Amino acid sequence: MNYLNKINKVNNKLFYSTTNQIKNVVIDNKDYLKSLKTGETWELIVGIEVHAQTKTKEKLFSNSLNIGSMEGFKANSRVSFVDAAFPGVLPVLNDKCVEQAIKTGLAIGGTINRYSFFDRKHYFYQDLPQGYQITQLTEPIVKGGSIELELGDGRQHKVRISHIQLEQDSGKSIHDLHPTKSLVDLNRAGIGLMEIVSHADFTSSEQVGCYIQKLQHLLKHIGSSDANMQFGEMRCDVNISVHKPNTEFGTRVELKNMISAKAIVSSIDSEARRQINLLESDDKKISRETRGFNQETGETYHLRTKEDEVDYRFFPDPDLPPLIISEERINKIKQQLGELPQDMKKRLIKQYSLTNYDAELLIQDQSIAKFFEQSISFNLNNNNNKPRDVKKILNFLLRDIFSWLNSNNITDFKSITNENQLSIEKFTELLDLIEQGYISTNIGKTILFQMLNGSDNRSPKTLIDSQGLSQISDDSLLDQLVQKLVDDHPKEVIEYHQGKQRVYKFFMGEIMKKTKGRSNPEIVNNLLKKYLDLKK
Amino acid sequence: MNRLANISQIRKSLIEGKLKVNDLIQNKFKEINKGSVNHLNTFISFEDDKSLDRQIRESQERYDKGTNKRLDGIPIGVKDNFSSKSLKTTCGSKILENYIPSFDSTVVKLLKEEGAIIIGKTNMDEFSMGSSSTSGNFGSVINPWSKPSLNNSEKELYVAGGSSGGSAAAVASNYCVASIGSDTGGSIRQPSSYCGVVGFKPSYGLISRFGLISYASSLDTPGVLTNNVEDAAELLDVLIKKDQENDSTSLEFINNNKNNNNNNEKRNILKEFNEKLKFKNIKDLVFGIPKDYLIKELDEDILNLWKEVVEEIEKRGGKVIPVSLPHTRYALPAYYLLATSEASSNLSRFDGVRYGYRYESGENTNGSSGGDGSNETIKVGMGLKDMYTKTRTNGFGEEVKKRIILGTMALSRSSYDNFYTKAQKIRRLVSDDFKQVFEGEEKVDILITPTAPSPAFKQNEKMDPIEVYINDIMTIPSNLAGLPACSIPLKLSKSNLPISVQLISNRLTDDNLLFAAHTIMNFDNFKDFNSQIPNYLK
Repeated sequence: MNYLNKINKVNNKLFYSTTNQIKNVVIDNKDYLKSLKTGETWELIVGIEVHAQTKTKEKLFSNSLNIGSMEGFKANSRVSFVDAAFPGVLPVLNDKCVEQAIKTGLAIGGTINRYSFFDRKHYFYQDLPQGYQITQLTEPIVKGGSIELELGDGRQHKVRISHIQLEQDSGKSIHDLHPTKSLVDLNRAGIGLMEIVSHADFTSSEQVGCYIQKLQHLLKHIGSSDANMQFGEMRCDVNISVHKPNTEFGTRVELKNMISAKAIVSSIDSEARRQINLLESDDKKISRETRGFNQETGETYHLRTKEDEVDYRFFPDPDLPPLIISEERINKIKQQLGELPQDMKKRLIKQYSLTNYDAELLIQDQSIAKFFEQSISFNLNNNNNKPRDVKKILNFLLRDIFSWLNSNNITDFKSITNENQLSIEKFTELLDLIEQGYISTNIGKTILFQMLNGSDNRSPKTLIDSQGLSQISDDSLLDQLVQKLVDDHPKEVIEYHQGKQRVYKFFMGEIMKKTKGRSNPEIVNNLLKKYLDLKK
Repeated sequence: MNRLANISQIRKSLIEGKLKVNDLIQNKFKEINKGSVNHLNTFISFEDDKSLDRQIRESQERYDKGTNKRLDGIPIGVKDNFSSKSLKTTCGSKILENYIPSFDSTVVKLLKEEGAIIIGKTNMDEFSMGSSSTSGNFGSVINPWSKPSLNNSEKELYVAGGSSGGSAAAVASNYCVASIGSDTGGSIRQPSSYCGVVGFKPSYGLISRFGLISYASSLDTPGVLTNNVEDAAELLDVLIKKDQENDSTSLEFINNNKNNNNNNEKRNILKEFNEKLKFKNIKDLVFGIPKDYLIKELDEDILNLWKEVVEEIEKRGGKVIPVSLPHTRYALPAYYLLATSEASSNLSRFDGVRYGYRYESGENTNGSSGGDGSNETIKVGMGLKDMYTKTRTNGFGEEVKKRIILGTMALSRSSYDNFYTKAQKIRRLVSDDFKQVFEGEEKVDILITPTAPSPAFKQNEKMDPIEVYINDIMTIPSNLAGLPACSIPLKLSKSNLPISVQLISNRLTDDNLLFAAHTIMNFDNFKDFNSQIPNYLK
């Protein structure tokens, strides 16, 4: 994940690049697609099923280790008799998975179903050991809820959640390691999944991109799932159809197994284009089918028709009693949930007068927002008990630190907030040194990167002193330098008085050059003005 | 020693040193193999000699030091659908013919913990689907009450009933002191009735199903087959234990009485049974006779026995009242839809992928496995679907396939509402019938019914499948309602076959059921049943 670019991509609409034939248009605050060939306007309808692995130590119905999609584990090394469906073994519900689903349900403002139960969904496949998946069809654990999206152009869009169901993940089939055999790895089999099913409330691929990021972020924030798409901890199935405005919805096509938010957005664009082209051609017919997405060609392709699908023969799992959740338990989890991202964002904007953009960046990762707030007031007696300047902190955090994270491909902010790199102690010490004029902001950045690189874990002050980087605030030294500079450049002085402002920058630059950037710009400013005025 | 000494008597002899564990166990094997190896085909596999010798030695050592294990050295047979570590567990099916579990079912684990010696795994109908123990992959169990050829008369072989036929026949033949069975729709009680032993199915959930290979999860109930009620109580006391780590349907044995303040207090079935024996008598019980069980197919001897039991109870001052269970007649079709629906799902794990039998290309589709040296060439897989189809076609027997197909149909999208949902509704109505009788005005303690409409039938007797299903008509309702029920052998029919009655009580009143069973079996008219030796063993 890319901290800095994430929002930008959505804002710049890189995610839903328009194609030659179809263009995104907004009419009366609503999203439509416009076919350039015919000039027709189309409405896109998308619904999404997100599968997110629960962040729990053990699997949904067995006590074998949930290693998620971590690499490096031997195939079939985290498999119990329950996961492999040996004769006579029975599922026992892992209460931690239930807790994660409740947390998620509360976070999206859904209703926790006090009485839910598990159903079996039958199909034969080598990586489905039981011959059925345990899932929740009739009475899922969470009903309702919604997610509010903020689109690139500032519009809000609300997406309603239909329900969240708890279910088992399947194993993995590997078809390319043996010439004649398919191999099966059951390490993933039985891991808890929360299937978060939206209503068909999306009318543009941008909304879908926003939604996935928002949901991903929310799950991480409350800790119910690690939700990394590239690791398969979060996966999406998309239902998509197009129709002319004010007509009935079109036939929907399902897109399966997309592995990144970007792929999902492009696949929706591509599929919408295909459907519109079909409908505008002589065929005029979309068939119900399941399609995949080829990243390289950027096109969707046929997987199977809906008629080919087996009858799943759902029925309540007789090995599992109904899941009854008490009001007390729901309230307890509610209390432990803490501040949700949207609430946090609102508070940050209000409390610190942040822009929407900055606040959005901060809440991408709860640990960043926390670090930000800590930096304002940590160890204030070093700073005459005055809260630190929010703007300055944000500059460091959202520009310098984010760009360092990106260029070093680090996705976990928490991993750098340690003694050797960027502890809150060191960061605030650095801020205070700048504030006191001990170093310039520019030198501060240099020191910051030195700290982040972690090669030298001494305190910022020691780092500065050992490299002789403290700022020159010696008035007499600077006085001499400025006076000499002005004397040496009579031509530029005349230009300055003729009103050429950029000459001023030249003088400033020369001083900085001579002092290797260590001079206090405020003092230099005053001195320059003084000597230039003398030459008037 | 009496042919049918009970567990506490055997234990006493072992403690006193009058009997050695080795002699006890070896005598059983002598009996089992008398006439021919595994004479009645009651067992599918036996514990191997080395392990057996070790267990015998260890048990004897414990006796020499003074053992505190409650079933130490007691030979027990376990139905072959209970997983047993290192001991083949086939479920009577070709699809598991060489499957050796790596773990013990909870039932087996609890028995071993109390020192019991599991001598072997008993024969059964494949996946417990049947009422005769003739449908399995390992041949038919012979009822010990079958008639040997005497004076040139043709021998008459009878079925042991099923599906726990091996367990029932083994106990009746005294091949083991007691055995474990499972009861989904009568699979303990019906063979117990055919073979003349006590068959006890406790309340659903009291004995853990962990390791019991599922037929129909919501109905499957582990239980015990013994020669007397004391042994049943002894075994139940060992086996009734909540197993929340392995089985979500496992329950604590607590009070069912909602007016009782100590509702959640854990109870001890043996203690309560013994207290009832000491302080209660027949006059403390209210018996109910459900007239809905009086069906036209009922055998005359059994009808007469039913009447005799009522008369004997009344003679002793017991209260007997007629009751009505109006939905009984819907129970049979509902059962066959629910059980097969669950079975079609539970049996889908037998796919040849991870364990058990897998069809290999080149194999003869008639069953015998191939491998005649022609497998030198690299086998290109036959494809997943083909492998599934051939594995399951070859691996399952006819009855199992029939039930999988029936269950698959019942759960399919187009018939679910008409079949599965309706059957569930009937299940609730059947349960409510019982509730009305046990908890309504009449406050019945024990229902008395026949166990099966007839005594054991002859092997190879051609029977209409529907007629075979009707065999379960008396036993099915208590499975649907999860009630404890037991079959007690009381007499021989005119044709010299054991006949029994079934007793049913309210949920979690298993102690009361034991008490009633013990009381009736000890009526003068019936108490000599156990002294008779089955014909085929003579």
